[in-house]
Amino acid sequence: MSDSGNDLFDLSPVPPSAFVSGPTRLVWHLPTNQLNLMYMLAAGLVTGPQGLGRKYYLDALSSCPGWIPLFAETVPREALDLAVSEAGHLRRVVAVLDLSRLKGTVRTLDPDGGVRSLQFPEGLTGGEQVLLVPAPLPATWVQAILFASKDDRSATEEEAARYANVPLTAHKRQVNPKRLVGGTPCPWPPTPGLLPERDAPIYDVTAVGAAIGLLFVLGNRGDSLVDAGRILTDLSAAEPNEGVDLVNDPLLGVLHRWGSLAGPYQGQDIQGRLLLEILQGVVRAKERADAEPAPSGLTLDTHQAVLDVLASEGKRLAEDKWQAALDRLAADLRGILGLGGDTVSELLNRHTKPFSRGLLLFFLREECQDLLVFRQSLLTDMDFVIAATLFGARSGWMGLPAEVQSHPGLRESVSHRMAALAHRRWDTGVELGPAPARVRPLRELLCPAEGAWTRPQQEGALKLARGLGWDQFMRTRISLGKGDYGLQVDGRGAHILLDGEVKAVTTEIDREGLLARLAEVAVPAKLEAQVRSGLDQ
Amino acid sequence: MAKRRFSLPGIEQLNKDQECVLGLPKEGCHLIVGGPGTGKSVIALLRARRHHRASGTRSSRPQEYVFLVFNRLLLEASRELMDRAVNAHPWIAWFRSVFKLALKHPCPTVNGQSFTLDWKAIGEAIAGASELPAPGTPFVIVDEGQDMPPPFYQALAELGFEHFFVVADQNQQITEQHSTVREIANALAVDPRDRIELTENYRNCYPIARLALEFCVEDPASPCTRLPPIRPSAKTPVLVDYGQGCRWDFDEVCERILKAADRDPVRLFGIITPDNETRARWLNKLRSHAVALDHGRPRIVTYAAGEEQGDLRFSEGGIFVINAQSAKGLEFDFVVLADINCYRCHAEDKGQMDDMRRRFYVMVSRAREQVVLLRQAGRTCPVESILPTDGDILRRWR
Repeated sequence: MSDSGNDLFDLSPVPPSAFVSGPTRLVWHLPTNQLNLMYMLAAGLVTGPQGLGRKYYLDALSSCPGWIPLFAETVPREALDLAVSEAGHLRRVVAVLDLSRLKGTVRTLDPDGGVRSLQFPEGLTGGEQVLLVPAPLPATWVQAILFASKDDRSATEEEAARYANVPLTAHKRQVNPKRLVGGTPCPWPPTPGLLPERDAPIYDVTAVGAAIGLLFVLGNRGDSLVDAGRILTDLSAAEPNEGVDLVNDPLLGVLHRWGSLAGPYQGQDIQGRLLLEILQGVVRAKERADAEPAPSGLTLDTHQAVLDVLASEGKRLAEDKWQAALDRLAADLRGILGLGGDTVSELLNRHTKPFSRGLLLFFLREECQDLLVFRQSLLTDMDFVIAATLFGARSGWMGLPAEVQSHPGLRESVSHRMAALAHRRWDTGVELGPAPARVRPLRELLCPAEGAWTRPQQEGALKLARGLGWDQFMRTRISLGKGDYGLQVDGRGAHILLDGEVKAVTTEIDREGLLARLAEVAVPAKLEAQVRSGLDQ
Repeated sequence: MAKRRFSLPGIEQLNKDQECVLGLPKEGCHLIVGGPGTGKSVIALLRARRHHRASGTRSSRPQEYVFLVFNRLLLEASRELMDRAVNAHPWIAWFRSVFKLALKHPCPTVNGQSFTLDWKAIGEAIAGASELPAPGTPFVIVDEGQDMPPPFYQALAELGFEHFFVVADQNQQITEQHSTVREIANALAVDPRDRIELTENYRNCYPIARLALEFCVEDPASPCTRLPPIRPSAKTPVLVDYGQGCRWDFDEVCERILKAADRDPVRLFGIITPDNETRARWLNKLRSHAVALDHGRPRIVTYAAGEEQGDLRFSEGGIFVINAQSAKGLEFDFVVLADINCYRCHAEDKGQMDDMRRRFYVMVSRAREQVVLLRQAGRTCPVESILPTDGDILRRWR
């Protein structure tokens, strides 16, 4: 990954305390191969075979689909062998997972091969050799990756660097031949049928994760983008209400339903229903492409999935004017892909609603990176909200540009959010603990709470304006009491001479101007980090 | 204007076959065979990247590899894609320099034509050499390897080259002195286990691969790629008839092409024409047609072998107007096959029709995202018989 220069960890061993045995063991081992592991790190989730789609190589995950098999000290030799059985270029690796935030019902295998439920962590007796945890888990819980040799480690590091989205260097990488030898700690694999099969694709949750990432990066462009990011990230609220105007922005309510994997409610307006159908249709097209064999006759093309929804929903609409509007929109979308007769500005002038414009952008550009740099004066921030959601549904978390995924704190927040969403959806009885803090766009961090900036906000805004050379938004005020002030002119310029020490020198920021300009530019990562350092606290 | 650049793939974008190829050792002879859209060129560029030494840190050390392409246009395309971080050369020029370095005299050519190598004399010279130096660039990566003749591979093997990574698609042979996959394998003594076939297509170009398959001429040595059943797609290629009795005339088609390019200025369009006369007609019209655009008129350039070359940058979007002969190995986001009625062939001549199929196979497979075929209405169209009639493979529009 492009983060090779951003190695977060040295290669020092995991502290022995992490491996403490006993009832409270919180560190467990997942045997797999380097390609499955890299895929899961890129996806942001440790998940079952279906989550890896056509890229899944046989490993222990296939022995209990939908459950993550985690071993205490010794990993079964059969599981290590299976992980490299499919191809000659596979290497054994063991992912060390930190389950300190996990709570809820998991399973364990008894020495006689039986499956038993237990409450984690309080139900641990200390004798468990294997845990079976419902998938998925946040990939950020991978505390370390163990290799059989230095050669294996360096080959895997070189391999990861070939990909744009494998954050291998965000995890400790250690050579531990002993752990990779394996043994017979427990009967393995489990007898088929003892565990309910719960394996499922993860496109729906990674779509939400990707939308969160895009809304974060686009967030400086407007308040609707900030609101939408907050809505999609906050899983706890039943309805989005914190500062969100659902009357004027009903589509934000739709996003909340989508972000909760809920369908349309009775009485949902047409655009809202269409948007939900389209988002689900895009995800379904991606899921179909992974099915083996892919179901026949149905499209795998996400553009076609959109057109199919417009066509089928259009037929259900009673009013001719709505049907005609959808027909026109569909024709323009097709034209974008081919030899349509319009420029972008002509299309945007014809379609003025965020729903339509979001779809236009979805057809005009393919990659998330292209959306992030797309500028057009006719577009509103709500247009970008819809587009970001659609692009997220198409790309999934893995399809985001590496610089988005690697934004400090975003991967932790989104991995947790995606995993928590999956557990809620499948009602697994597992909780992942408190969510990491949401990463907020600068615009949100600079939003005054009660009409005035706090001191950290004022300082953050100053750093930003200075860093970007925005003198036009800065003004220096020197407050002076009554008195006589002398003027001295020399070769260096003019100086006002004051008696005593003047402390009332302040730099003021044109808040409106600064936020408006912020919406138009990309802030360099280093400067953004400096500004955030005072604002995130 | 935003730049077009080669970017590393996401892990989800490479399939298992491709990962297998990437896992091959640096040493040895590897032959990778695959149809359009199977990612051969991406794999070859990733292979080059694996060998490439960044300049600066160890700049005093020469590159250990060479990335060979068929012609100068492909050379520019590869260099632009890799932001110049690739040791790429056109194969003939590179071979001449390698020969001269090894044999201490110029490479024999036919009648003094620098681009027509005399393989018989070359073979005799190498066989008669008392001592040959070790190759300076021991790792040879060949893109579109089917376009180079068998004696080229034999000569390299005799010159002492041992490590080859050749990507090829036998169904894209349009050069006169091409190699079959079997000939490459024999010349380089490729172990059958080191011959890997890429069969899976990227999803986003499935409709293009499906259309290309219609033009594939079956060869037992290199069977056509098998593809899943036809599925509905918004990007199904379309055949547009224009002119008399049709909704669009020449002006309208040109305007629409210009607007399509304007909608995404980073995209590269390839207008592929059957001959120079047609090329000039399209080039002039696209450059002169009055139209209101958001970004102004796009970059419109042309290329033809033997003519003085101008702007051949592939790192920026725009429109390339080129002849079919120059399309080989290039990649465009959007391909327009202009005036397909102008291709000459006779339906009763199977050999001629097979050649035409191969040509269409190559032209169609230049596209990454979309293909449009244009035909002048009211003219005879000798290639009609090779066009698919299934509307799910090629939609028709008048």
